[in-house]
Amino acid sequence: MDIMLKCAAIALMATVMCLLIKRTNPEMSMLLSAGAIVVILTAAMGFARSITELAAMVKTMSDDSDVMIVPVLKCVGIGAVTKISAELCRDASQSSAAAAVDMAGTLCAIGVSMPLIVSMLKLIGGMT
Amino acid sequence: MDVDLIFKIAAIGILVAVLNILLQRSGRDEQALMTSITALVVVLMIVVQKISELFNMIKSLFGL
Repeated sequence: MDIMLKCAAIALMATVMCLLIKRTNPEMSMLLSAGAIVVILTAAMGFARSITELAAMVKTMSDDSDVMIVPVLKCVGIGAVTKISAELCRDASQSSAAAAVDMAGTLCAIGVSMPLIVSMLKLIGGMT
Repeated sequence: MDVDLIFKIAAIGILVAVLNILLQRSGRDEQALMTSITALVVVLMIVVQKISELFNMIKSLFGL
């Protein structure tokens, strides 16, 4: 909870400073917002460590098979990276670059989740 | 939490803005341009390093 408040405070402070320097040099304001994002996410990623513990637990429950939890985790990672990059591009009013990053992220996520889809299809095939 | 990074970038931004205005008023337009480009490169180096650290962290955390 404490770290959440700190993240909110950092975001608001960075926004105000961005607005302050946007008039004179807009490129610096974009870099400032990127820096703020990095600081906030680095703090937030500390909490994501518990997700890996959950992944290990699910792995032991599903007889050491990677097919269940690994695609989910990878999709979360791809989604995070894609979202950050696309929104940064959109902030700098480069919607086309943002759309390209979005598309790349979608394709990567589909590629990563293929084993899950294949295993589901195999399961359905085994039932009939 | 590395809040100093944000303050550092904002301070560089404000300083460069002031320098830019001073140099432009005194008729040294090309020096003003060089100053702002140099500041941009310096800040870009800092931010790109941090972004690469973050992406490596995400990579190792989610096993990408």
